[in-house]
Amino acid sequence: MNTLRYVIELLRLNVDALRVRPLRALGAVVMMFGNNLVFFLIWVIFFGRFSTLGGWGEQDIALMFGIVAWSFGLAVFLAGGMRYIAQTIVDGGLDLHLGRPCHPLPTLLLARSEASGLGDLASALVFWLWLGGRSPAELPLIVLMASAAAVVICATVIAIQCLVFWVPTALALCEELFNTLMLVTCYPQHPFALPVRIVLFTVFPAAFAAFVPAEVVRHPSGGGVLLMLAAALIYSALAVAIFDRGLRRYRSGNRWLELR
Amino acid sequence: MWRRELQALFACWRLGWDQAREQRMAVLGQSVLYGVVLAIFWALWTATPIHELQGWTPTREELLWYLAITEWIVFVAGARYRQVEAEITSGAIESALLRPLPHGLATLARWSGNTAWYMAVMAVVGMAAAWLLTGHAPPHPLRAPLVVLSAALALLLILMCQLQLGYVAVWFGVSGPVFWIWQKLLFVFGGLQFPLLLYPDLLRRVAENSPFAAMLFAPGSLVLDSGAGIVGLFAGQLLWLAILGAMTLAVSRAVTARLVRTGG
Repeated sequence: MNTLRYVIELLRLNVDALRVRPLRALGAVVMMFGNNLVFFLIWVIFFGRFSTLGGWGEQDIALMFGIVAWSFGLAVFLAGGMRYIAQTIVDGGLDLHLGRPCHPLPTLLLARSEASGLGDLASALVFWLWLGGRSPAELPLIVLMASAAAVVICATVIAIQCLVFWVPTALALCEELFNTLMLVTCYPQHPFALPVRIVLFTVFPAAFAAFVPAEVVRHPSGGGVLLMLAAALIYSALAVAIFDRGLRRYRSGNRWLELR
Repeated sequence: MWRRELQALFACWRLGWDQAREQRMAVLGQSVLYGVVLAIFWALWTATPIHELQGWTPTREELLWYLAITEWIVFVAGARYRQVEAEITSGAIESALLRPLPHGLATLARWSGNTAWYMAVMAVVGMAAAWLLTGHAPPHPLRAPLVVLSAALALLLILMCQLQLGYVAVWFGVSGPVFWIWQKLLFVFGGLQFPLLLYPDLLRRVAENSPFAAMLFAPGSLVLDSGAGIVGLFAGQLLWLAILGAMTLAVSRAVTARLVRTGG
């Protein structure tokens, strides 16, 4: 209960931090919104020339794009610190989080909030309701699936960032793996060869970040919803386990004094 | 006088080259990502009914080799504007202004060295991946030197844009949001994923007359049987080089003037 209150307080502080420079935050929101829409132009051009992509049409891609935008947006807005875990570990900054009376992961994740995430969230609604042709009645299911996808993304990024516990020089590699995750989620994955799909459903779960939730919305079923929720739970547990395992290898950066 | 400046520029170029050589993990990550991108698009082109095209119809193999070139340029260029943004936000740019070489010129020289190394490494990765996926050698292999020359010009254009994007932080405090939009315009109007020849007429004309086409479509089109003139292609790139070069010079001077007046 105390941890939950602490997390809510951190969230409030992050939002307050964004309000310090409102114009910069608003700029990031607007630019990310525009960025997503401009990027989708490529698919508009594609479907102007071709009728289908392995059975998927423009509206299906828009649905998937919206899920990607929502899941990344939610993740970076609520847990913007996820992309900086590796840097914190390498700098010895983990000391500051270890000195707090709760597990270090929540404070690491909530170390910052990215305003651009709000632009992602807003663009998701445009993708779903306008470009994707989905009805408002479908929104609860779509939001539930996209939010579960956000949890999978956050968990995957944590696992990637933990790589530096074992390979301290892998900072740049962590960034590239994050980019790979982002990139793979932006494309429909059903045309991929079987071995690639197996990887995307297991060790590098990009399929659960966009393709599976989109399929659950396209063909709603109780089993599909449960599968997505289970994936969110399992990958979260795995991320925590990997982090805890890596933490055992962590050596202090002698930054305890900064806690004072 | 000129000799000293050229020596300093070469030293910056060499520094960039050496820095790139040391970033082994980054190269590994980028190589994997580059290979993944090509594999994704090979799967997507396989699932695409290309026979639906009317008029100019490329093969799947041509489309993948085209993509291998455009993605090669995008990967090599990266997001270098962040270095200038960080220099501005941290105030480190002030000490750089004290050096006898203009900051913009020194940065471009360092980036060029860095880029040259990445170009060589990523060319091998892209060539191997595209050959493996398509099972075919690149179309028009005799045009390879032209592709390299055109890609080098394209990268110079992109680096000049990135320098200006980095300088945006002097006015807005950040460069990222402006870069996102510029990058997506590059992807769309540059023809990153498929040639501009597949675009609707109006959009194609707009894209072809934008600088973005000189950055991606121009070098990529050299592997296509599109009937486009090679001389016109290089002339377009040189024209944009002159325009963007003048813009970069103007922006650099404005940044220096502002920093000298108000500080970093």
